[in-house]
Amino acid sequence: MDETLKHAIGAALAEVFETMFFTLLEPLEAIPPHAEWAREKHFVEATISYQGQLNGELRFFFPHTLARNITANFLGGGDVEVGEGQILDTVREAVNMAVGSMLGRLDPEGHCTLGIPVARRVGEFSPESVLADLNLYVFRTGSAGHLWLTCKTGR
Amino acid sequence: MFNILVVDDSETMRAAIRKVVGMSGVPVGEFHEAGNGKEAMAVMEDAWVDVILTDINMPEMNGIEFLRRIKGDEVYSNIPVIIITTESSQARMEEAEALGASGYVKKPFLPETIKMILTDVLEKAYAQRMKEIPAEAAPESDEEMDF
Repeated sequence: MDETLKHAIGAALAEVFETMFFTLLEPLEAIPPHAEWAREKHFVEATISYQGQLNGELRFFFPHTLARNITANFLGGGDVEVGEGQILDTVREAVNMAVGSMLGRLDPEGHCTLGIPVARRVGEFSPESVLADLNLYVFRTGSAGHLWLTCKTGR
Repeated sequence: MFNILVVDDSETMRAAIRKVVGMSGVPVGEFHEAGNGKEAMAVMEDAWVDVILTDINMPEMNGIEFLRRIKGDEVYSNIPVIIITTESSQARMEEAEALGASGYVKKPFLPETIKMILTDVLEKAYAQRMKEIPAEAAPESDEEMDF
């Protein structure tokens, strides 16, 4: 991944997750050992694009546990009950904030526009399918698993 | 008491803002919600609101178009509008300010930021309202709004 983009999205994600969801993200420089993520089977995928002087699309894969935890934290924390719709809504909002914040860093003049984020639960995804992606970025979130991110950029 | 309208396409974000506003100490009367500018216009046909907090990036009618319509309507043009958005570029902020936005909060936000801006905007709106009331109808004391 382009280092400037990597730095911007890493800083934006850390800010959003800490401020809004009380969740610490540890950016990883290398793919973590298989044993760390082998049990991550259920994911929520979120995609969001941006257009303008910079163009790109980011795809995030949230382990369901992470998606559920950030939703509960966003709604007040503790043992608050969360529904599937709220989980997808929170994931959409999380990527919207993260990529919006990233663009604020990369495009301070505001020449780019952010697309509407889309989130869905995926049963068929395995992190193994993105390991070969050169634009892969992985974050460790402690007991809630790993956040996987890939991006496509264009001119 | 102030009636508040929150406009955001994320239901959970609206719930989070509602919670923050509830904890802010601002005396809230009715709390209304809408998923985009179009829905918000429909809400405002049925209910009076004293302040609007709106996102920008929404389907159907985005926050900038919504702000433009509010400020172009003589019935609603004095209602303060606070933008709460991920779009933090200087150009977007200047556009919102030029259209008449009273405040701008960047997501992600700290609860204190919403409280500070909401309080500031409502104090100014309250002072403006007092100026517009004829002297004989104004409150006798120099009582100020206190959150």
